[in-house]
Amino acid sequence: MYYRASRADLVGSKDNAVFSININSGNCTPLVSNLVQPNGLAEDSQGNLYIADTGTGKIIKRTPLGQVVEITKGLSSPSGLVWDKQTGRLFVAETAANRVSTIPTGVALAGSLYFKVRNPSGGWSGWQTMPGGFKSPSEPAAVLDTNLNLHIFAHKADNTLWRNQRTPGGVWTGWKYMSMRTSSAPSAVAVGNVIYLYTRGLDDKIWMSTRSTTGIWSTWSLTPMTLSPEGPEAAADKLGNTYLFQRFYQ
Amino acid sequence: MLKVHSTVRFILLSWINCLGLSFLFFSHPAFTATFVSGLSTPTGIAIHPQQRLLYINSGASGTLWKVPILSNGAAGAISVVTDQFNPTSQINFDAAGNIYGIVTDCRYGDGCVEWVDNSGTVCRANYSEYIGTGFGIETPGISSSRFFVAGGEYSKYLYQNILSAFNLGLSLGRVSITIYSIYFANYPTICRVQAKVL
Repeated sequence: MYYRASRADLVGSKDNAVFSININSGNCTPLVSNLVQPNGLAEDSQGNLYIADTGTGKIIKRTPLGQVVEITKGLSSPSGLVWDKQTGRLFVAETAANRVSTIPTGVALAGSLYFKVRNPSGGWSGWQTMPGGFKSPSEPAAVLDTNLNLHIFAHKADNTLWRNQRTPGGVWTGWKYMSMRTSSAPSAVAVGNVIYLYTRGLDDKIWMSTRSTTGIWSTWSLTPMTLSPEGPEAAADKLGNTYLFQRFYQ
Repeated sequence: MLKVHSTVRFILLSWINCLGLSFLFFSHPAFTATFVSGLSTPTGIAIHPQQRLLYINSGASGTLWKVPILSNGAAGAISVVTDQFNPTSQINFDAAGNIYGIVTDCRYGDGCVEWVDNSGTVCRANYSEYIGTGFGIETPGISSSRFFVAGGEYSKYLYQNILSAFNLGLSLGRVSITIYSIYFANYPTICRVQAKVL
């Protein structure tokens, strides 16, 4: 059994299947079936669930949208499983081979955020850092308002979404939590001094929050976009229209 | 020296009898690599919440090892934490660095929660005939974290307790609170959970 912090639920295995239990509502949901003695369970920072299927010697991945893929096979009675957030690898105990092995997952690691400034004549500044040693598994979203305040949005490895603001004088106002959890890069656009921020929640839905001209952020609201395995991309025109893009899987 | 042919991509399982000695060879499937070998039947693994240490246990021998994860990703020198840690399979840490597991036969056939504290002492609590093997620790890093234990084959309940109670020794005995009953009959076509408090 495994507690998924990203979903506040428990994932467990029974017979040939893996299921989740919401510890608040009690809802029980089958996640993966047709396994043969599923054993170790682990989750990465993007909400992918990994299953060590002892009976088949496979490691199975279930994406947040429910796609089930085999990421490796031929292991010798894989049992214990854990995902290392610092190296992005899975550690798996191969009981019958008397060893512990590693498997790369390709999931991006959290890194410090840096930026450069390019002036109108094409010259580039040196690297500049964000304050507070902020680390993110994804690139941040950045947008300028008409007062030339730079707004930055990024999430941490624990899936919490944060914002920061840099004044034209180069002073950062500090990171503030935005009451949203996400495992994807957010996207932001400015229409005048109004900022629209879009992000994919841990429920795979695309959410929106708006910063008014007085600097007040709205509560989060759902967009009409469909479920997504990744964050959206946004754009805006001078007429005040905002465009939101997402990828459809066939 | 025996060499495994390089074109073998997945598991190669072969018994070789030489002078009466049997050897069992495993090659690796693609993309995997050995982190540490020479362990006797490793079963559960967990990463320490504060230190770059991988903990590995063997349910068969009761051994708990720890291995540093070096900055280059390789394994450091392996060492034995204790040989008295007997969880059947899964192990996991709480935020304080205590490592837990479930032992299915602790006392008179009762299962229990077993853990090793930071000093290396092995502790046991929550003896119950209803304890299964699976457990989960809620959000390591907060003091009010809950400890969930799946019921055994005949229980079909999910138990919870406040994790700090384990550490304070306040929950010895069968004091777990059942929050949900889980009905697995005909699973996965039926997977019902009902709120229930004992």
